[in-house]
Amino acid sequence: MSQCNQCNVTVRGDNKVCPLCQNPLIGDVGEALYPKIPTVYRQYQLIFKILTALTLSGGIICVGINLMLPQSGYWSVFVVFGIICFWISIIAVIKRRGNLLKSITFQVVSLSLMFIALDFLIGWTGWSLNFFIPISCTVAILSLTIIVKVKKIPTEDYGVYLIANLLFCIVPIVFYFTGLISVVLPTLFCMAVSVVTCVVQIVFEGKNLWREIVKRFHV
Amino acid sequence: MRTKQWIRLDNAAKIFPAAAYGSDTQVFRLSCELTEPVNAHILQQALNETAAMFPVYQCVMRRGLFWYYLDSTDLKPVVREEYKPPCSAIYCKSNKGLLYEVTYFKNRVNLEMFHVIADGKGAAVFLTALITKYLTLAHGVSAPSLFINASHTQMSNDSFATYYDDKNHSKAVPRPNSYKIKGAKVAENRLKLITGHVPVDQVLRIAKGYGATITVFLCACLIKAIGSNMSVRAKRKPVVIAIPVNLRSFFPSLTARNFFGLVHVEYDFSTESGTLEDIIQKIGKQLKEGLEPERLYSDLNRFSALEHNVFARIVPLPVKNIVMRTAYLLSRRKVTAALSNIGIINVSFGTDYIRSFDVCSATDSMQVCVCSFENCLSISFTSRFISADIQQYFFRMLVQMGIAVEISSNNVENE
Repeated sequence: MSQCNQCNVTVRGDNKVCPLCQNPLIGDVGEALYPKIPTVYRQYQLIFKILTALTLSGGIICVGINLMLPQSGYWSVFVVFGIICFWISIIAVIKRRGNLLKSITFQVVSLSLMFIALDFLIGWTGWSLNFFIPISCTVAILSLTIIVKVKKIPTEDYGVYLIANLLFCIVPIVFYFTGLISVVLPTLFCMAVSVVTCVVQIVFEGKNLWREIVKRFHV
Repeated sequence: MRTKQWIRLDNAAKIFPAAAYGSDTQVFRLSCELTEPVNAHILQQALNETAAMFPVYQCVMRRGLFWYYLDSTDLKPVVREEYKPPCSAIYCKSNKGLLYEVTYFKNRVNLEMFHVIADGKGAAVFLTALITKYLTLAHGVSAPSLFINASHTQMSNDSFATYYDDKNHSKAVPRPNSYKIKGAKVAENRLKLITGHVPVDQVLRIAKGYGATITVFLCACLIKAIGSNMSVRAKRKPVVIAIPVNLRSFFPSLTARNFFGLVHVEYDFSTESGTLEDIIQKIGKQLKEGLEPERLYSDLNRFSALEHNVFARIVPLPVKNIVMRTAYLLSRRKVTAALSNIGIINVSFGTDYIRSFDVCSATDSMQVCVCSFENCLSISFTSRFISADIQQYFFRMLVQMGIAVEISSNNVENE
């Protein structure tokens, strides 16, 4: 217990100066009352800085070279697009690293949108709708189902992703019936997988799923 | 399989997730210092038993499309040695955990709670139950009958909803912007915590001498301390102190969740004399008016009406968060500091093993939390600012009145 002669208070803890007036204390220094918690050091910051510098300078250099050689076509657009997609995916994964299901759901949605855009940029051949979306949806549905079973995740944690799963099932069906798809096999396969998993989920978890919907959408 | 319960956030809790930002994490800490070092193993056992008595706190917060909600969970609370600064954030979007935490450091047991699940009164019941359990286990005493005077459903009752009457609410009285404390801030959104222990009888005697309650007396001292650090130009704006009021004392309720209202008292140094007597007299009158049950009731109804508004309800949560955060920040411009007195803490067993109880809360500027145990009145300042001049003026004032003050601090600037 030590004493501050300026404030006339006793001071507990391991202080050498008075917390109120910063004058030196008189008397014995006691034990610490609070743990010393080091300030957070952002350990990955350097890697991110290097990545940012590399991708930024790479993009700028490509655009520069492309401008010098205009006869080579607008290829730098693809480089810039690739860099943007790369960063969206990286940031999304880091932000959702605690939640695998959310991460998968987000990746499928964002990559699908990016690939549709890329398909459009290259000159529409329809490969994003024919192949990428049905295949990634199938993979997402299967991996969500497997992760949920293996990790024994309770309904309230995965319910919202099952609802997203239903969406994965609906989107290819919509594409199929609007005639946007020229190669039907991947889409039909995706539809079969998603309909079967949805039916199984509804049979086994229907009540829980309904409760989940009531909870998530209460006003 | 047990079907899990879910509950809506109560009226007061609805603002907290949107308001939690930076240092203002909406987390408060209640701690109890024992006379002996804490045994982590026994504390864990005591916590397991206490947690079973309070199922209302065994929940995680989730996001719906329109509102957050509390979902009961099987997660078990785990005792840890104190590992982060006081009142750090508890709720994390990507990692859904319990909304309270029990930690210990040397002789002290800390209970930190996200304000969404409880207010200070609810937390005090939980902590005293935990401490009683711990002490009976640690000292091999047959447990005294430890019971909570409320059923599980009474504890999880949303008392705002119980008392809400949509036909009876007044219009909000617009208040002017208040003086805001300014200064260099502590790094990393940490809070400077300075706690002063003073004898209850000495403070009570002096407060009585002024004809005031302890809350009014301490609030007046706080206003005077803030006033002493104001520039002449800053004094044109009033100093406004927000005082949370436990509504359980006005409207019978056994809830362990939030049930409090806010009363604001203000003092204008540019027009008033600024003496302690004058401050006590002015704010004592304001607090008395604010505590009239009709006034508290119409405030309760006004806030509940916002929540029940159809248009407010159908706005999606992300938009709601932005709107509520903006509203919260605007309301903060009208408050200088907050003073929260959670009152006397009673334990049924083991007063000899307990040194003190303390309470403190996260804040975006300055907050004073007060509680008392036996003859020890604990006054904790949490502050965003490096400067401790207001705290110094406040405690020196008490010393000059002949009160013995004992200071402790988390020494945030040394880290």
